[in-house]
Amino acid sequence: MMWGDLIQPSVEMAEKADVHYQCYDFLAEFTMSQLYRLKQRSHFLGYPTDIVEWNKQLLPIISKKGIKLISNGGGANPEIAADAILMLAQQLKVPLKLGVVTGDDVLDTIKRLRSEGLKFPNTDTGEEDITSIEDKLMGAYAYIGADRIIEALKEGCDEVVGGRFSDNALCVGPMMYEFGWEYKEPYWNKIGAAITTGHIIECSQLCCGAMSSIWREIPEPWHPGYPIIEMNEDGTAVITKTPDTGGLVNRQTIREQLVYEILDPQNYIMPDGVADFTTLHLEDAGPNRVRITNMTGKPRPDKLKVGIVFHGGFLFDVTVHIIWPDVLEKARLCKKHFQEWLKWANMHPIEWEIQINGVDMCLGPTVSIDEIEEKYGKDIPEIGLRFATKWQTREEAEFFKKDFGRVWSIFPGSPFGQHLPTNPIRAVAFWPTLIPGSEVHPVLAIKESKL
Amino acid sequence: MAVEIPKTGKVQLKDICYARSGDKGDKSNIGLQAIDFDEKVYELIKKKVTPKAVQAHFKGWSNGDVHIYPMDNVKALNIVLDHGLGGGMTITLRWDGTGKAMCQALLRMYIDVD
Repeated sequence: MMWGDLIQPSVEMAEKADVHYQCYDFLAEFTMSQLYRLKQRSHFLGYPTDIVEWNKQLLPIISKKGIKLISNGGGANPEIAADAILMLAQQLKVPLKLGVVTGDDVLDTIKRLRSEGLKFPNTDTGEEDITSIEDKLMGAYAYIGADRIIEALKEGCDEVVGGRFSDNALCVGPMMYEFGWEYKEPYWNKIGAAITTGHIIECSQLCCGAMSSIWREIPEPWHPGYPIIEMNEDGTAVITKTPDTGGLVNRQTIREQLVYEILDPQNYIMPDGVADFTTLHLEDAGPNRVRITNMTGKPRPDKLKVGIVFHGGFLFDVTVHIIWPDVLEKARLCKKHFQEWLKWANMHPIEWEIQINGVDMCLGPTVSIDEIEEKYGKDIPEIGLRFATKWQTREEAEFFKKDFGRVWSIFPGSPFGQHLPTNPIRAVAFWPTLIPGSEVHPVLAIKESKL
Repeated sequence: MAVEIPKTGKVQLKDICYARSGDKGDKSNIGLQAIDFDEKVYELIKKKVTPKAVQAHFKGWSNGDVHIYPMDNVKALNIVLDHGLGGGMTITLRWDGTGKAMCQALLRMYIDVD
Protein backbone atom coordinates (compact mmCIF):
# COMPACT_ATOMS: atom_id res chain seq x y z
CA MET A 1 0.00 0.00 0.00
CA MET A 2 0.96 3.63 -0.09
CA TRP A 3 0.62 6.42 2.41
CA GLY A 4 -2.75 7.90 1.63
CA ASP A 5 -4.38 4.60 0.76
CA LEU A 6 -7.67 3.35 2.05
CA ILE A 7 -7.49 1.49 5.33
CA GLN A 8 -10.70 -0.55 5.06
CA PRO A 9 -9.35 -2.97 2.42
CA SER A 10 -6.48 -3.78 4.80
CA VAL A 11 -8.88 -4.57 7.59
CA GLU A 12 -10.97 -6.60 5.19
CA MET A 13 -7.90 -8.55 4.14
CA ALA A 14 -7.03 -9.32 7.76
CA GLU A 15 -10.59 -10.48 8.38
CA LYS A 16 -11.38 -12.39 5.21
CA ALA A 17 -8.17 -13.58 3.61
CA ASP A 18 -5.88 -16.35 4.68
CA VAL A 19 -2.59 -14.43 4.78
CA HIS A 20 0.48 -14.76 6.99
CA TYR A 21 1.93 -11.29 6.51
CA GLN A 22 0.59 -7.85 5.70
CA CYS A 23 3.26 -5.60 4.24
CA TYR A 24 2.88 -1.83 4.05
CA ASP A 25 4.95 0.61 2.06
CA PHE A 26 4.23 4.11 3.32
CA LEU A 27 7.02 5.94 1.56
CA ALA A 28 7.57 7.67 -1.74
CA GLU A 29 10.37 10.06 -2.66
CA PHE A 30 7.95 12.90 -2.09
CA THR A 31 6.82 11.47 1.25
CA MET A 32 10.38 11.08 2.53
CA SER A 33 11.21 14.68 1.68
CA GLN A 34 8.13 15.88 3.56
CA LEU A 35 8.96 13.65 6.54
CA TYR A 36 12.50 15.01 6.79
CA ARG A 37 11.05 18.52 6.72
CA LEU A 38 8.72 17.61 9.59
CA LYS A 39 11.52 15.97 11.56
CA GLN A 40 13.48 19.22 11.34
CA ARG A 41 10.52 20.93 12.92
CA SER A 42 10.27 18.52 15.86
CA HIS A 43 12.06 15.47 17.13
CA PHE A 44 8.65 13.87 17.64
CA LEU A 45 7.61 14.17 14.01
CA GLY A 46 8.87 12.65 10.79
CA TYR A 47 6.99 9.38 10.46
CA PRO A 48 3.79 8.79 8.50
CA THR A 49 1.25 9.09 11.30
CA ASP A 50 -1.13 6.78 9.41
CA ILE A 51 0.92 3.92 10.85
CA VAL A 52 -0.81 4.51 14.18
CA GLU A 53 -4.31 4.35 12.70
CA TRP A 54 -3.31 1.29 10.72
CA ASN A 55 -2.13 -0.45 13.86
CA LYS A 56 -5.18 0.64 15.78
CA GLN A 57 -7.50 -1.06 13.34
CA LEU A 58 -5.35 -4.06 12.51
CA LEU A 59 -3.71 -5.10 15.78
CA PRO A 60 -6.86 -6.47 17.43
CA ILE A 61 -7.54 -8.70 14.41
CA ILE A 62 -4.05 -9.80 13.44
CA SER A 63 -2.93 -10.54 16.97
CA LYS A 64 -5.71 -13.14 17.15
CA LYS A 65 -5.01 -14.61 13.72
CA GLY A 66 -1.22 -14.54 14.02
CA ILE A 67 -0.75 -12.30 10.97
CA LYS A 68 2.50 -10.33 11.04
CA LEU A 69 2.81 -6.71 10.04
CA ILE A 70 5.86 -5.47 8.15
CA SER A 71 6.16 -1.80 7.23
CA ASN A 72 8.43 1.12 6.53
CA GLY A 73 6.04 3.30 8.51
CA GLY A 74 8.97 4.56 10.58
CA GLY A 75 9.72 7.06 7.81
CA ALA A 76 12.43 9.47 8.88
CA ASN A 77 11.89 8.63 12.55
CA PRO A 78 11.35 4.88 13.22
CA GLU A 79 12.04 5.05 16.97
CA ILE A 80 9.31 7.59 17.58
CA ALA A 81 6.92 5.64 15.34
CA ALA A 82 7.73 2.52 17.37
CA ASP A 83 6.95 4.31 20.64
CA ALA A 84 3.59 5.36 19.24
CA ILE A 85 2.80 1.79 18.15
CA LEU A 86 3.81 0.33 21.52
CA MET A 87 1.78 2.87 23.42
CA LEU A 88 -1.19 1.96 21.28
CA ALA A 89 -0.66 -1.80 21.78
CA GLN A 90 -0.66 -1.20 25.52
CA GLN A 91 -3.89 0.77 25.32
CA LEU A 92 -5.47 -1.98 23.23
CA LYS A 93 -4.03 -4.59 25.62
CA VAL A 94 -2.42 -6.44 22.73
CA PRO A 95 0.83 -8.26 23.48
CA LEU A 96 3.29 -7.05 20.85
CA LYS A 97 6.89 -7.91 20.16
CA LEU A 98 8.01 -5.13 17.86
CA GLY A 99 11.17 -5.10 15.77
CA VAL A 100 12.42 -1.56 15.15
CA VAL A 101 14.94 -1.07 12.39
CA THR A 102 17.05 2.07 12.17
CA GLY A 103 20.29 2.90 10.43
CA ASP A 104 18.98 4.06 7.06
CA ASP A 105 19.66 7.70 8.01
CA VAL A 106 23.10 8.24 6.48
CA LEU A 107 23.65 12.01 6.56
CA ASP A 108 26.48 11.76 9.12
CA THR A 109 28.05 8.86 7.22
CA ILE A 110 28.01 10.90 4.03
CA LYS A 111 29.65 13.85 5.79
CA ARG A 112 32.38 11.56 7.16
CA LEU A 113 32.97 9.83 3.81
CA ARG A 114 33.24 13.20 2.07
CA SER A 115 35.88 14.28 4.55
CA GLU A 116 37.72 11.11 3.54
CA GLY A 117 37.51 12.13 -0.10
CA LEU A 118 34.49 10.20 -1.39
CA LYS A 119 32.14 11.98 -3.81
CA PHE A 120 28.37 11.67 -4.11
CA PRO A 121 27.43 12.37 -7.72
CA ASN A 122 23.81 13.02 -8.63
CA THR A 123 22.76 9.93 -10.56
CA ASP A 124 20.05 11.95 -12.32
CA THR A 125 21.99 15.00 -13.45
CA GLY A 126 25.56 13.69 -13.40
CA GLU A 127 26.66 16.60 -11.16
CA GLU A 128 29.88 15.43 -9.55
CA ASP A 129 29.34 16.04 -5.86
CA ILE A 130 26.98 17.72 -3.40
CA THR A 131 29.23 20.79 -2.97
CA SER A 132 26.60 23.09 -4.54
CA ILE A 133 23.95 22.07 -2.00
CA GLU A 134 26.16 21.60 1.04
CA ASP A 135 24.57 24.47 2.97
CA LYS A 136 21.05 23.32 2.15
CA LEU A 137 21.13 19.67 3.30
CA MET A 138 18.10 18.44 5.25
CA GLY A 139 18.75 14.73 5.42
CA ALA A 140 19.93 11.62 3.61
CA TYR A 141 18.52 8.13 3.71
CA ALA A 142 19.65 4.86 2.16
CA TYR A 143 17.24 2.37 0.65
CA ILE A 144 17.89 -0.71 2.77
CA GLY A 145 17.15 -4.37 2.20
CA ALA A 146 15.40 -7.10 4.15
CA ASP A 147 18.33 -8.30 6.33
CA ARG A 148 17.00 -6.91 9.60
CA ILE A 149 13.42 -7.93 8.77
CA ILE A 150 14.60 -11.52 8.47
CA GLU A 151 16.49 -11.19 11.75
CA ALA A 152 13.41 -9.77 13.48
CA LEU A 153 11.26 -12.64 12.24
CA LYS A 154 13.85 -15.14 13.46
CA GLU A 155 13.61 -13.44 16.85
CA GLY A 156 9.86 -14.01 16.82
CA CYS A 157 8.70 -10.43 16.30
CA ASP A 158 4.99 -9.90 15.63
CA GLU A 159 5.58 -6.68 13.78
CA VAL A 160 8.54 -4.98 12.14
CA VAL A 161 8.70 -1.23 11.56
CA GLY A 162 11.61 0.55 9.94
CA GLY A 163 12.66 3.56 7.91
CA ARG A 164 13.44 3.51 4.23
CA PHE A 165 13.22 -0.21 3.55
CA SER A 166 12.92 -0.52 -0.20
CA ASP A 167 9.26 -0.97 -1.07
CA ASN A 168 9.67 -4.62 -1.98
CA ALA A 169 12.04 -5.53 0.88
CA LEU A 170 8.88 -5.65 3.00
CA CYS A 171 7.82 -8.71 0.99
CA VAL A 172 11.31 -10.09 0.35
CA GLY A 173 11.98 -10.36 4.11
CA PRO A 174 9.11 -12.69 5.03
CA MET A 175 9.65 -14.84 1.91
CA MET A 176 13.37 -15.31 2.58
CA TYR A 177 12.64 -16.08 6.21
CA GLU A 178 9.85 -18.59 5.51
CA PHE A 179 11.75 -20.50 2.81
CA GLY A 180 15.21 -20.13 4.30
CA TRP A 181 16.52 -18.35 1.19
CA GLU A 182 19.91 -16.72 1.62
CA TYR A 183 21.83 -13.95 -0.12
CA LYS A 184 23.91 -16.35 -2.26
CA GLU A 185 23.64 -18.93 -5.03
CA PRO A 186 21.35 -20.71 -5.75
CA TYR A 187 18.82 -18.27 -4.37
CA TRP A 188 19.22 -15.21 -6.63
CA ASN A 189 16.37 -16.22 -8.97
CA LYS A 190 14.11 -16.73 -5.98
CA ILE A 191 15.06 -13.41 -4.46
CA GLY A 192 14.42 -11.97 -7.93
CA ALA A 193 10.93 -13.49 -7.75
CA ALA A 194 10.39 -12.00 -4.30
CA ILE A 195 11.47 -8.55 -5.53
CA THR A 196 9.32 -8.82 -8.66
CA THR A 197 6.15 -9.81 -6.83
CA GLY A 198 6.89 -7.25 -4.11
CA HIS A 199 7.22 -4.60 -6.81
CA ILE A 200 3.88 -5.60 -8.35
CA ILE A 201 1.92 -5.23 -5.11
CA GLU A 202 3.78 -2.24 -3.65
CA CYS A 203 1.07 0.24 -4.67
CA SER A 204 -1.77 -1.89 -3.31
CA GLN A 205 -4.82 -1.84 -5.57
CA LEU A 206 -2.87 -0.40 -8.47
CA CYS A 207 -2.34 -4.00 -9.59
CA CYS A 208 -5.98 -4.87 -8.94
CA GLY A 209 -7.65 -2.63 -11.45
CA ALA A 210 -7.16 0.80 -9.89
CA MET A 211 -5.92 3.49 -12.31
CA SER A 212 -6.30 0.82 -15.00
CA SER A 213 -6.28 1.21 -18.76
CA ILE A 214 -9.19 -1.24 -18.81
CA TRP A 215 -11.29 0.92 -16.46
CA ARG A 216 -14.48 0.02 -18.30
CA GLU A 217 -14.04 -3.61 -17.26
CA ILE A 218 -13.30 -3.14 -13.56
CA PRO A 219 -16.15 -4.39 -11.36
CA GLU A 220 -17.19 -2.45 -8.26
CA PRO A 221 -14.06 -0.31 -7.92
CA TRP A 222 -15.53 1.46 -4.89
CA HIS A 223 -14.52 -1.31 -2.52
CA PRO A 224 -11.17 -2.46 -3.89
CA GLY A 225 -9.51 -5.62 -2.73
CA TYR A 226 -5.85 -5.36 -1.85
CA PRO A 227 -3.42 -7.73 -3.56
CA ILE A 228 -2.10 -10.97 -2.13
CA ILE A 229 1.06 -12.82 -3.20
CA GLU A 230 0.97 -16.60 -2.84
CA MET A 231 4.69 -17.35 -3.11
CA ASN A 232 5.86 -20.91 -3.64
CA GLU A 233 9.15 -22.34 -2.50
CA ASP A 234 10.15 -22.93 -6.14
CA GLY A 235 9.98 -19.19 -6.85
CA THR A 236 6.73 -19.27 -8.80
CA ALA A 237 3.81 -17.25 -7.49
CA VAL A 238 0.16 -16.40 -7.88
CA ILE A 239 -1.14 -12.88 -7.39
CA THR A 240 -4.72 -12.57 -6.26
CA LYS A 241 -6.74 -10.29 -3.98
CA THR A 242 -8.98 -10.44 -0.92
CA PRO A 243 -12.05 -12.57 -1.73
CA ASP A 244 -15.44 -10.86 -2.23
CA THR A 245 -14.04 -7.44 -3.02
CA GLY A 246 -14.23 -5.15 -6.02
CA GLY A 247 -11.48 -4.64 -8.54
CA LEU A 248 -9.90 -7.11 -10.90
CA VAL A 249 -6.71 -9.14 -11.14
CA ASN A 250 -5.77 -10.40 -14.58
CA ARG A 251 -2.77 -10.40 -16.92
CA GLN A 252 -3.45 -6.80 -17.91
CA THR A 253 -3.79 -5.39 -14.40
CA ILE A 254 -0.58 -7.15 -13.39
CA ARG A 255 1.31 -6.09 -16.51
CA GLU A 256 0.41 -2.44 -16.14
CA GLN A 257 1.82 -2.42 -12.63
CA LEU A 258 4.91 -4.44 -13.61
CA VAL A 259 5.91 -1.60 -15.96
CA TYR A 260 5.15 1.16 -13.43
CA GLU A 261 7.94 3.24 -11.90
CA ILE A 262 10.78 1.24 -13.35
CA LEU A 263 13.87 2.10 -15.37
CA ASP A 264 15.80 -0.74 -17.05
CA PRO A 265 13.47 -3.76 -16.69
CA GLN A 266 16.36 -6.21 -17.06
CA ASN A 267 18.08 -4.67 -14.08
CA TYR A 268 15.61 -3.64 -11.43
CA ILE A 269 18.29 -2.85 -8.87
CA MET A 270 17.20 -3.28 -5.27
CA PRO A 271 19.17 -3.65 -2.03
CA ASP A 272 18.27 -7.36 -1.83
CA GLY A 273 19.14 -8.27 -5.41
CA VAL A 274 18.63 -7.32 -9.04
CA ALA A 275 15.39 -8.55 -10.57
CA ASP A 276 14.98 -9.15 -14.29
CA PHE A 277 11.40 -8.41 -15.42
CA THR A 278 11.99 -9.59 -18.98
CA THR A 279 12.06 -13.34 -18.38
CA LEU A 280 8.83 -13.85 -16.47
CA HIS A 281 5.65 -15.32 -17.85
CA LEU A 282 2.16 -14.12 -16.90
CA GLU A 283 -0.77 -16.48 -17.14
CA ASP A 284 -4.42 -16.06 -16.17
CA ALA A 285 -5.12 -18.87 -13.70
CA GLY A 286 -8.78 -18.48 -12.84
CA PRO A 287 -10.87 -15.52 -11.75
CA ASN A 288 -8.70 -12.84 -10.12
CA ARG A 289 -5.63 -15.07 -10.19
CA VAL A 290 -2.48 -14.57 -12.22
CA ARG A 291 0.32 -17.12 -12.13
CA ILE A 292 3.84 -15.81 -12.60
CA THR A 293 6.61 -18.19 -13.57
CA ASN A 294 10.23 -17.94 -14.70
CA MET A 295 11.06 -14.90 -12.59
CA THR A 296 14.81 -14.39 -12.39
CA GLY A 297 17.35 -12.34 -10.51
CA LYS A 298 21.01 -11.54 -10.00
CA PRO A 299 23.18 -10.89 -6.92
CA ARG A 300 22.56 -7.85 -4.74
CA PRO A 301 24.55 -4.73 -5.67
CA ASP A 302 27.58 -3.45 -3.73
CA LYS A 303 26.10 0.02 -3.56
CA LEU A 304 22.84 1.25 -2.12
CA LYS A 305 20.67 4.01 -3.50
CA VAL A 306 20.57 7.12 -1.33
CA GLY A 307 18.14 10.02 -1.41
CA ILE A 308 19.65 13.27 -0.20
CA VAL A 309 17.01 15.88 0.51
CA PHE A 310 17.79 19.57 0.48
CA HIS A 311 16.10 22.93 0.49
CA GLY A 312 14.84 23.74 -3.01
CA GLY A 313 13.12 27.11 -2.77
CA PHE A 314 9.46 27.99 -2.31
CA LEU A 315 6.60 27.04 -4.57
CA PHE A 316 3.49 29.12 -4.97
CA ASP A 317 0.68 28.70 -7.43
CA VAL A 318 -2.58 30.45 -8.05
CA THR A 319 -5.32 29.91 -10.59
CA VAL A 320 -7.25 32.59 -12.40
CA HIS A 321 -10.41 31.62 -14.28
CA ILE A 322 -10.93 32.97 -17.76
CA ILE A 323 -14.50 33.03 -18.95
CA TRP A 324 -16.16 32.78 -22.38
CA PRO A 325 -15.77 34.08 -25.01
CA ASP A 326 -12.31 34.10 -26.63
CA VAL A 327 -10.66 32.35 -23.70
CA LEU A 328 -7.52 31.21 -25.51
CA GLU A 329 -6.92 34.65 -26.97
CA LYS A 330 -7.27 36.07 -23.47
CA ALA A 331 -4.94 33.39 -22.12
CA ARG A 332 -2.23 34.44 -24.55
CA LEU A 333 -2.58 38.04 -23.45
CA CYS A 334 -2.50 37.01 -19.78
CA LYS A 335 0.87 35.41 -20.35
CA LYS A 336 2.23 38.54 -22.00
CA HIS A 337 0.79 40.86 -19.35
CA PHE A 338 2.15 38.70 -16.58
CA GLN A 339 5.62 38.58 -18.10
CA GLU A 340 5.69 42.36 -18.46
CA TRP A 341 4.31 42.86 -14.97
CA LEU A 342 7.08 40.70 -13.46
CA LYS A 343 9.64 42.96 -15.12
CA TRP A 344 7.83 46.15 -14.19
CA ALA A 345 7.40 45.06 -10.56
CA ASN A 346 11.03 43.89 -10.44
CA MET A 347 10.17 40.35 -9.31
CA HIS A 348 12.52 37.51 -10.02
CA PRO A 349 11.13 34.03 -9.58
CA ILE A 350 13.60 31.17 -10.10
CA GLU A 351 11.08 29.71 -12.52
CA TRP A 352 7.53 30.41 -13.60
CA GLU A 353 4.98 28.86 -15.93
CA ILE A 354 1.39 29.42 -16.96
CA GLN A 355 -0.63 26.30 -17.64
CA ILE A 356 -4.14 26.10 -19.04
CA ASN A 357 -6.36 23.95 -16.88
CA GLY A 358 -8.70 22.16 -19.23
CA VAL A 359 -6.31 22.29 -22.19
CA ASP A 360 -2.66 21.52 -21.61
CA MET A 361 -2.03 21.46 -17.86
CA CYS A 362 -1.34 17.71 -17.82
CA LEU A 363 -0.76 16.96 -21.51
CA GLY A 364 1.78 19.74 -22.03
CA PRO A 365 3.44 20.01 -25.42
CA THR A 366 1.41 17.11 -26.83
CA VAL A 367 -1.50 19.55 -27.12
CA SER A 368 -1.33 22.18 -29.82
CA ILE A 369 -3.09 25.32 -28.60
CA ASP A 370 -3.38 26.50 -32.21
CA GLU A 371 -5.17 23.29 -33.15
CA ILE A 372 -7.52 23.56 -30.19
CA GLU A 373 -8.24 27.17 -31.10
CA GLU A 374 -8.96 26.22 -34.68
CA LYS A 375 -11.28 23.40 -33.61
CA TYR A 376 -13.20 25.08 -30.82
CA GLY A 377 -12.30 28.69 -31.42
CA LYS A 378 -14.30 31.20 -29.45
CA ASP A 379 -16.59 28.56 -28.03
CA ILE A 380 -14.56 27.09 -25.19
CA PRO A 381 -16.74 28.03 -22.20
CA GLU A 382 -14.06 28.54 -19.55
CA ILE A 383 -10.55 27.61 -18.55
CA GLY A 384 -8.33 27.98 -15.52
CA LEU A 385 -4.96 29.64 -15.89
CA ARG A 386 -2.54 28.23 -13.37
CA PHE A 387 0.35 30.52 -12.51
CA ALA A 388 3.06 28.32 -11.03
CA THR A 389 6.08 30.04 -9.56
CA LYS A 390 9.21 29.17 -7.61
CA TRP A 391 11.16 31.61 -5.40
CA GLN A 392 14.46 31.68 -3.60
CA THR A 393 13.01 32.85 -0.27
CA ARG A 394 9.71 32.63 1.58
CA GLU A 395 9.58 36.45 1.75
CA GLU A 396 9.68 36.75 -2.03
CA ALA A 397 6.98 34.12 -2.40
CA GLU A 398 4.78 35.83 0.20
CA PHE A 399 5.31 39.21 -1.43
CA PHE A 400 4.32 37.79 -4.78
CA LYS A 401 1.25 36.17 -3.30
CA LYS A 402 0.13 39.47 -1.81
CA ASP A 403 0.80 41.47 -4.94
CA PHE A 404 -0.74 38.92 -7.23
CA GLY A 405 -3.97 39.38 -5.32
CA ARG A 406 -3.91 43.02 -6.41
CA VAL A 407 -2.83 42.43 -9.94
CA TRP A 408 -5.62 40.35 -11.43
CA SER A 409 -7.01 43.50 -13.03
CA ILE A 410 -4.14 43.58 -15.51
CA PHE A 411 -5.67 40.56 -17.22
CA PRO A 412 -8.09 40.94 -20.12
CA GLY A 413 -11.85 40.47 -19.91
CA SER A 414 -13.29 39.84 -16.48
CA PRO A 415 -11.21 37.09 -14.93
CA PHE A 416 -11.87 35.58 -11.55
CA GLY A 417 -9.07 35.03 -9.12
CA GLN A 418 -8.82 32.06 -6.81
CA HIS A 419 -10.78 33.05 -3.74
CA LEU A 420 -8.17 32.04 -1.22
CA PRO A 421 -4.78 31.16 -2.67
CA THR A 422 -2.85 28.58 -0.66
CA ASN A 423 0.34 29.52 1.14
CA PRO A 424 3.76 29.12 -0.45
CA ILE A 425 5.24 25.71 0.32
CA ARG A 426 8.83 24.82 0.96
CA ALA A 427 10.15 22.69 -1.87
CA VAL A 428 12.36 19.85 -0.74
CA ALA A 429 14.62 18.82 -3.57
CA PHE A 430 15.88 15.30 -4.06
CA TRP A 431 19.45 14.31 -4.95
CA PRO A 432 19.71 10.62 -5.80
CA THR A 433 23.14 9.08 -5.33
CA LEU A 434 24.89 5.86 -4.28
CA ILE A 435 26.74 4.78 -1.16
CA PRO A 436 28.89 1.68 -0.59
CA GLY A 437 26.65 -0.93 1.08
CA SER A 438 29.46 -1.67 3.55
CA GLU A 439 29.00 1.83 5.01
CA VAL A 440 25.33 1.33 5.88
CA HIS A 441 24.55 -0.59 9.04
CA PRO A 442 20.86 -1.13 9.75
CA VAL A 443 20.24 -2.09 13.36
CA LEU A 444 17.42 -4.09 14.92
CA ALA A 445 16.05 -3.28 18.37
CA ILE A 446 13.28 -5.35 19.89
CA LYS A 447 10.67 -3.72 22.09
CA GLU A 448 7.68 -5.28 23.79
CA SER A 449 4.38 -3.84 24.94
CA LYS A 450 4.00 -3.90 28.71
CA LEU A 451 0.61 -5.25 29.67
CA MET B 1 -12.05 -8.21 -29.43
CA ALA B 2 -8.94 -8.21 -31.55
CA VAL B 3 -6.93 -5.05 -32.02
CA GLU B 4 -7.00 -3.69 -35.54
CA ILE B 5 -4.10 -1.97 -37.17
CA PRO B 6 -5.04 -0.01 -40.28
CA LYS B 7 -3.34 -1.28 -43.45
CA THR B 8 -1.96 2.09 -44.50
CA GLY B 9 -1.41 5.56 -43.17
CA LYS B 10 -1.10 6.40 -39.51
CA VAL B 11 -2.49 5.05 -36.28
CA GLN B 12 -2.81 6.86 -32.98
CA LEU B 13 -1.20 4.91 -30.15
CA LYS B 14 -4.38 5.11 -28.06
CA ASP B 15 -6.09 2.78 -30.55
CA ILE B 16 -3.56 -0.03 -30.20
CA CYS B 17 -1.90 0.43 -26.81
CA TYR B 18 -2.47 0.81 -23.12
CA ALA B 19 -0.08 2.85 -21.01
CA ARG B 20 0.78 3.62 -17.40
CA SER B 21 3.33 6.16 -16.22
CA GLY B 22 5.12 7.24 -13.08
CA ASP B 23 8.30 8.82 -11.76
CA LYS B 24 11.76 8.09 -10.43
CA GLY B 25 13.10 11.44 -9.33
CA ASP B 26 13.15 13.61 -12.43
CA LYS B 27 12.83 10.62 -14.75
CA SER B 28 9.45 9.90 -16.29
CA ASN B 29 8.65 6.25 -16.94
CA ILE B 30 5.94 5.24 -19.39
CA GLY B 31 5.03 1.58 -19.81
CA LEU B 32 3.52 1.29 -23.28
CA GLN B 33 1.64 -1.98 -23.69
CA ALA B 34 0.20 -3.67 -26.76
CA ILE B 35 -3.55 -4.13 -26.22
CA ASP B 36 -4.39 -7.80 -25.60
CA PHE B 37 -0.67 -8.64 -25.68
CA ASP B 38 -1.00 -8.47 -29.48
CA GLU B 39 2.19 -9.59 -31.20
CA LYS B 40 1.72 -7.47 -34.33
CA VAL B 41 1.03 -4.33 -32.36
CA TYR B 42 4.09 -5.01 -30.27
CA GLU B 43 6.32 -5.47 -33.31
CA LEU B 44 4.95 -2.23 -34.76
CA ILE B 45 5.53 -0.09 -31.68
CA LYS B 46 8.93 -1.66 -31.15
CA LYS B 47 9.86 -0.45 -34.63
CA LYS B 48 8.13 2.93 -34.69
CA VAL B 49 8.17 4.28 -31.15
CA THR B 50 11.78 5.41 -31.17
CA PRO B 51 13.63 7.68 -28.73
CA LYS B 52 13.69 10.34 -31.43
CA ALA B 53 9.93 10.14 -32.02
CA VAL B 54 9.20 10.32 -28.29
CA GLN B 55 11.61 13.20 -27.88
CA ALA B 56 9.83 15.14 -30.62
CA HIS B 57 6.38 14.33 -29.22
CA PHE B 58 7.32 15.75 -25.83
CA LYS B 59 9.36 18.69 -27.14
CA GLY B 60 9.93 21.15 -24.32
CA TRP B 61 9.07 18.61 -21.65
CA SER B 62 11.72 16.03 -22.44
CA ASN B 63 14.97 17.67 -21.50
CA GLY B 64 17.33 14.72 -21.55
CA ASP B 65 17.87 11.40 -23.26
CA VAL B 66 15.00 9.04 -23.98
CA HIS B 67 15.59 5.33 -23.40
CA ILE B 68 13.36 2.58 -24.71
CA TYR B 69 13.55 -0.89 -23.18
CA PRO B 70 11.68 -3.65 -24.99
CA MET B 71 9.93 -6.28 -22.88
CA ASP B 72 9.14 -9.06 -25.37
CA ASN B 73 7.71 -11.27 -22.63
CA VAL B 74 4.82 -8.93 -21.85
CA LYS B 75 4.60 -7.13 -25.21
CA ALA B 76 5.46 -3.78 -23.73
CA LEU B 77 8.04 -1.03 -24.08
CA ASN B 78 9.35 0.75 -21.05
CA ILE B 79 10.07 4.31 -22.07
CA VAL B 80 12.20 6.48 -19.81
CA LEU B 81 12.58 10.21 -20.26
CA ASP B 82 15.59 11.56 -18.39
CA HIS B 83 14.76 15.02 -16.99
CA GLY B 84 11.22 14.46 -18.13
CA LEU B 85 9.39 15.93 -15.14
CA GLY B 86 10.59 19.49 -14.81
CA GLY B 87 12.86 18.65 -11.86
CA GLY B 88 10.83 15.91 -10.20
CA MET B 89 7.78 15.82 -7.94
CA THR B 90 9.15 17.83 -5.04
CA ILE B 91 10.30 20.89 -6.99
CA THR B 92 8.55 20.86 -10.35
CA LEU B 93 6.14 23.59 -11.44
CA ARG B 94 4.01 21.04 -13.22
CA TRP B 95 0.61 20.16 -11.92
CA ASP B 96 1.22 16.50 -12.70
CA GLY B 97 4.46 16.29 -10.76
CA THR B 98 4.77 12.51 -10.77
CA GLY B 99 3.96 12.22 -14.45
CA LYS B 100 0.88 10.06 -14.02
CA ALA B 101 -0.64 11.68 -17.12
CA MET B 102 2.46 11.29 -19.27
CA CYS B 103 1.02 7.96 -20.45
CA GLN B 104 -2.10 9.63 -21.83
CA ALA B 105 0.09 12.27 -23.42
CA LEU B 106 2.13 9.56 -25.15
CA LEU B 107 -1.02 7.82 -26.40
CA ARG B 108 -1.78 10.97 -28.42
CA MET B 109 1.18 10.16 -30.65
CA TYR B 110 0.62 8.94 -34.23
CA ILE B 111 2.90 6.40 -35.89
CA ASP B 112 3.12 5.24 -39.51
CA VAL B 113 1.85 1.70 -39.97
CA ASP B 114 4.08 0.91 -42.96
